[in-house]
Amino acid sequence: VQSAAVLWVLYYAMLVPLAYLSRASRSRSPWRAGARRPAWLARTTRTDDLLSARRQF
Amino acid sequence: MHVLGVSCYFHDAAAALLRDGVLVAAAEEERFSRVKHDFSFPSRAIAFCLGRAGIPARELDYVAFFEKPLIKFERILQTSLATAPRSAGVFRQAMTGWLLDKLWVKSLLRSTLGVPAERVLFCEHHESHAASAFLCSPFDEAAILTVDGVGEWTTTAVGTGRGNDLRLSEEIRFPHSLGLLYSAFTAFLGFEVNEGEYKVMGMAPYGTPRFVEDVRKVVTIGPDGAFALDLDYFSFHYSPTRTFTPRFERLFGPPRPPGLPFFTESTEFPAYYGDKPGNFRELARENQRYADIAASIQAVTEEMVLAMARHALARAGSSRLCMAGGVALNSVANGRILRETPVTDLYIQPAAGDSGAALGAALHAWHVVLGHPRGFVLDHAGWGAEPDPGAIEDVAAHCGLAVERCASEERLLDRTVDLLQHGAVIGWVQGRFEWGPRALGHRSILADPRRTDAKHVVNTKIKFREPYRPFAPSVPVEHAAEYFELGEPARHLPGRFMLLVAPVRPEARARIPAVTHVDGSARVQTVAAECDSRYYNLISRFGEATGVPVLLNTSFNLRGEPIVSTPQEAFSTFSRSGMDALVLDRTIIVKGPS
Repeated sequence: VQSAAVLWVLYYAMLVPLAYLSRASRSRSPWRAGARRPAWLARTTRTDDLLSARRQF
Repeated sequence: MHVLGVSCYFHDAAAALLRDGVLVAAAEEERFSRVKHDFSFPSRAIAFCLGRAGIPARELDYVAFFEKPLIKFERILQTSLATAPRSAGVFRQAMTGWLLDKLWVKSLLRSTLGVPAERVLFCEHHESHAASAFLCSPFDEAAILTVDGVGEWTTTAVGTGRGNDLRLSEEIRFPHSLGLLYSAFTAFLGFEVNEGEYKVMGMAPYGTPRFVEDVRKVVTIGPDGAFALDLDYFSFHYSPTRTFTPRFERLFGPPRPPGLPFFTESTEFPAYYGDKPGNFRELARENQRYADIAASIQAVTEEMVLAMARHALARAGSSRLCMAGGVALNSVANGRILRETPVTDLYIQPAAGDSGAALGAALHAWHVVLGHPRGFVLDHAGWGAEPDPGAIEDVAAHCGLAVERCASEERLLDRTVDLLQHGAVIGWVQGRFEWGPRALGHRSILADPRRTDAKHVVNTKIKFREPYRPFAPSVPVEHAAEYFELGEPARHLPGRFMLLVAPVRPEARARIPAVTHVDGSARVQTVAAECDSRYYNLISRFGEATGVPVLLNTSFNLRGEPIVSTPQEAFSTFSRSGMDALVLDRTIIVKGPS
């Protein structure tokens, strides 16, 4: 119950205001509604070195 | 050196173990837990792999996880933020899973396996897919295409594999996803997401693709295969329960209620559906609309996959293609790639979905991260557990049915062919169970494909599955071209894994009616003597006896259950179904008079 309460407080205290604040940038976001022009994006990340592969990110 | 690959926490958890770069064992957790599409931490599959290799967990040199959890977590947080407050449900559901389990994968792997932190590696989701497609293929160089629902951010990627290296050069990112587009239609058509996609594919040939232009309204497709969803039609990124919006419903009409039997004027209405409703014609007409929608999304999916395959080939400057990701299990699209693109050679490993990413992560660690040269080709699917002889003997001793222990291979094959010729439906348990979702003659239900009623019999006595779903044929690779338009069957390893749908030759359709789908196609499994000698010999012997070297092959399970693994599970399924005989290695158990 405590965890759930913390989650909800986090959600409303942090995410909702941020969401509204970020509304201006939403027109550029990948979630913008409406038809979009399809395009391949360049892929930049690689995990082929041991240091990178050890990281969870 | 031992490298363990692990995938879990989305769907189809699995483990795969390499010894010096050669696969020792690979299995999906559901085969042990008996929970279909089990996504929990694959502790049983890991234990099996370690047992098969004969090593304790502490002797593992590396453990490779199939994705980067923190990047995925970032995507979920960003999505929740961008779609707040509608995303409250998704946020709550996601946070529970992430805070309790998914963020602590590294700790869990360390504590469970006793492997030091620096030996736990993380490979990006689509790199795992790409590695599973290319690094165990027979090609020195090839184009790579990975397409699925979503990994961290990537939903689709193209790249090149050369030697022991692979590079993904371009991608399409969430929320634009072909896998999620297909899943939205799967849900709309009343099926379970991540489970019912095969049903949509099977339903499609009963429809006419008259909604293709409407499907194009929800997804824009570029000439190079790039695509973008119109998010006005989708809610998968903010709703935990619905994947499409009311606008989607206004375009395609009301969704099909889940759980209702599906039939049209051209499908059967099997007895297990109950009594035929009084308004049968009206319901059949309504279902026909759903079949037309299935045909339309399948047609657009094929068009997109073909365009992406051409793009991947052009970018890589290659005529060879390796594919992975859940969409690579769309065997109709795969068959068209072979027939309609410049591809000369295609490779897809049998567990092309997320379970196969466990293998990919291990291969990526071994070859790309650690720099070892290649040498292993995955050319068969038998990487699971073998039936225990003691368990077979135990089943035989306590089954209370007629049991025959065949002293020779010849006797086993002759007796099984005799049963098949006399119309028996047989459970067939041989060798190590299959890696991936398809039964390929290791844990299969077999029947005579020449019988027009075989499909009906298998459906009504055993599988109780929808009558519009086809059964697959198994054929020795040397005979495949006599029955199916497969070009050079021996050249295409995906055919061994039942990943290609091909037209049945018109002159052969009447000879194998039980495995010829309504559109004249079949999801063929080619069988090679060097990989599955007993199954190959059985089909060949059946061919000698009947003139038709083809068997109907479907997975050894009941509806809603995972494919059987052990002799006990096989006998339990056999007992609860209308199968006539069960073949466990060289032991034959027959119901009724033998």
